[in-house]
Amino acid sequence: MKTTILQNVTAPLLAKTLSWCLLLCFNADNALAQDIKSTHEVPGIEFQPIQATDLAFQDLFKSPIGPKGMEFSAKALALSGQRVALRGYMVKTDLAQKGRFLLAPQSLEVNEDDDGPANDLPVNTVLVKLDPSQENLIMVHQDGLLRLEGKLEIGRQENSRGEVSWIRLLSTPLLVNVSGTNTQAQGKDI
Amino acid sequence: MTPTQPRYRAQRSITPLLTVAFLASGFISSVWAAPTVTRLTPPSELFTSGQAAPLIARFLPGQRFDLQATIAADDASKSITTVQFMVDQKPVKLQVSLKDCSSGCLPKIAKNSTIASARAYSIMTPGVHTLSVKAEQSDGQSVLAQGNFEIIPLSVGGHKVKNIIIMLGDGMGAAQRTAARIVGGGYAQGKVITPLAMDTFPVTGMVKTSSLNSIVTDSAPGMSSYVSGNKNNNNEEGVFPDDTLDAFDNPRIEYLSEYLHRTQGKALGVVTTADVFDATPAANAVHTSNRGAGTGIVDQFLDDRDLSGLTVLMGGGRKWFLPSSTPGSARSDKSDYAFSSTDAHTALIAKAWGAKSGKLDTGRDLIADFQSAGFTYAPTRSALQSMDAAHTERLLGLFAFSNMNVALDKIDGRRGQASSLGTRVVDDFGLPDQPMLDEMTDKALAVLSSKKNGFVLMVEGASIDKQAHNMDTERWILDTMEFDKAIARAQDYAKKHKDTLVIVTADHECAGTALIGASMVSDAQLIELGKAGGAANLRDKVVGIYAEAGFPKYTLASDGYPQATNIDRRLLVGYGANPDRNEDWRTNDRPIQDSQQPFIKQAPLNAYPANATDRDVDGKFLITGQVPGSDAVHTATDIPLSAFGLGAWSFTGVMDNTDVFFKIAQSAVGGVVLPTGFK
Repeated sequence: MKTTILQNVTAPLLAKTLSWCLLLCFNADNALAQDIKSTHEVPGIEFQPIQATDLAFQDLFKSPIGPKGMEFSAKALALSGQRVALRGYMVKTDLAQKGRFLLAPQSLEVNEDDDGPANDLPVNTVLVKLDPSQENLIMVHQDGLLRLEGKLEIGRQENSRGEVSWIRLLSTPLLVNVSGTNTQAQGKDI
Repeated sequence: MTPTQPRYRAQRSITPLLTVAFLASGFISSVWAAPTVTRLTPPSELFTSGQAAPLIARFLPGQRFDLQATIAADDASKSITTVQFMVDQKPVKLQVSLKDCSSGCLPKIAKNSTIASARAYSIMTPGVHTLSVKAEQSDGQSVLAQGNFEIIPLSVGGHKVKNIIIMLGDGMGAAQRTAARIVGGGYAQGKVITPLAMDTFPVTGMVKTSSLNSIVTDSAPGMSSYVSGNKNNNNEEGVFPDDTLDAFDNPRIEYLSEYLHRTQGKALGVVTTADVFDATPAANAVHTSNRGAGTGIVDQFLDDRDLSGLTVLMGGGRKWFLPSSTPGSARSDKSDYAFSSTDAHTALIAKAWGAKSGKLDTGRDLIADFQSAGFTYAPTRSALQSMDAAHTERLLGLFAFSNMNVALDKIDGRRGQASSLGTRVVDDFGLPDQPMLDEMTDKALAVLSSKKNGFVLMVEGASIDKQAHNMDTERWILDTMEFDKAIARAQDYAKKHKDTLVIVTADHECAGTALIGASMVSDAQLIELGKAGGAANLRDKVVGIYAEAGFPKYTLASDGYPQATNIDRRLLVGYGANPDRNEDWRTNDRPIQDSQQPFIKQAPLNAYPANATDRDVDGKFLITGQVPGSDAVHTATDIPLSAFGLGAWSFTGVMDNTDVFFKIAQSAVGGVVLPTGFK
């Protein structure tokens, strides 16, 4: 088995690679990510250093929150549209969605099936949208603290199910496990 | 017979009047194809199976409910032209709306079906009544079908209960109660040192919790059964099931709050630690077949306050109240409703019930609308505490954007205890100033006690259930303790106000929770055994059963909650309705702590299960579950109900959840009488 970083690759090659990609995983801690980079093997692909600004969940909104709605922080507004890095936990949900998942400042589980859509999500939960080249894949739940990079997008957006998001991270292509033996993520849809 | 098959097939009859004559048996018989009645509401076994018992739908004298029938014409070229409802063979003198199913109905319903509704029907005469529907299709053929319902008589006499307090511990089965007692009260030589408030209630019974369509209910029909007297389908509240896609047009059943507001002018209070749109709070005043339709649910709370008498509403859920232009708003048209003014099918709901029609209005500032309607708004504990209840006519408290934080995290916040990441959970949520449930209950009672005609107050300990789903043991135990402190406040009120009835109950049990014993080791040893890992260490060397369990001793801090939950020889809890889980028995009081060992080192990655449990991975003690998915589930097990105050003595024995409604109504409307079997 070989773990490969796929970043900044061209779409056709990525598409070909993804035909084997059955499990997605993340670029984790900074230190760890460094370890991984030293082992990457993607023949013919050059890695470009990426400058991302670290952004903490606590910095997204003014906190404590006032009596009614929230207000974006000046830092978040300034970074809107920019490349940022967020550290957080993938929210565990009953209903995984293709090409997207939620990232929260703490480890959380949302029981959509049992409880309906009442949830315990902090308001600064971020909707992570996978790179368009990975939008048909379903993210298998990952434990632990994750570090993600992508373009910060701020503003109201409503999906076809009527779910509203206010902060999104348009993720860079994520690490991909190219093992051909794992089928866990394949064919799973909602 | 499958549910999709027509139950009654009235076939071509040369003499339709003869068909009527066959009705006494509940069946129609004749020769030719004809329209069919595929659903008759209220639901009955008479319609479904031809059996007269058990009686499914039961109402109070004068309690309002909708009549509805779905009828399919026998050919695509034909349609249903007229429908007449009859009770005890007498025509119901209410306007009947006809909705054709060419659009807006469930996929399984034939396009040439028609849904006929007569809204807000009521009858005073006690006893079993037959409900018939006669429908005629465009070629003149007709069908008759029959069901039944019962009006429960009220005995007159005795003192009437003025105030009703329903303490609803969501998911609180016997094990949850016992765990809170062990942790909060302590044991000495087999005796409880300090009992729970709910343990001091003089009367206890056992409640059967099934819903209309399952032995295992969810919270929507669970609550609805207590305050409507009727079984609802899972996910549905205050309504009977129907065949349309619209989540707000279902046949309604008048709630306890609505009945007592209309007939006695009582006020309604709804207090929860959940999002206020959640099933339990909503199933006191909102009628919908979709417990998830947040925007419409919170709108209806306010818009139909003249029906329910809503006076106090407290909990989380601010996200539904904010206009869509405000960050944090979750309002959407998809979760809202708007009745047509021209289509009689929904227009009749507004007309017959006096309900508001609703509006698709994501831009609505619902907090401002509550304030305009005379509600004082409290966004924090501080604001709640500083409020002068004696001069507060109505109260809206929204302390979180979704569910409020649980007791363990709120208490950690108050004690200034930070997580391993250096922040408190309540700070992560941006809401460090949330009240405890007993504080909310106190304030609700203070506002409601000024209402001269009395009140109905429902207080929900919501996250007993939510944390049991997560098998997060200490979190649901502390939430049960928080709930019991709120119960003590209600009990104190009833001691001072003798015409008050307090009921402590649950909608269902959650997680098949079992107190299996206690740890045989210290917490330090437990940590070491967790590092060694595996069942040989974390099970065989830790789990003390029978005498080995002894009596776990938790020390309470001055705030009434354990100083620490990671104690030596701690209480151990197992789950019988569990998915796979890792267990190391220690409190999950922090976000996952193994950030130094992220998954990526755990190669090969393909060994990573798709449904990996989040917690306690290092202990390598995987407990294989019996249910699919990642959450523990509700169970069909009966739950305990305890009662205190005027009328409490009727709440004994094994009762159906719907029986509770009629016992409350007897006490509040007829007056307190001895329960059956005591005379």
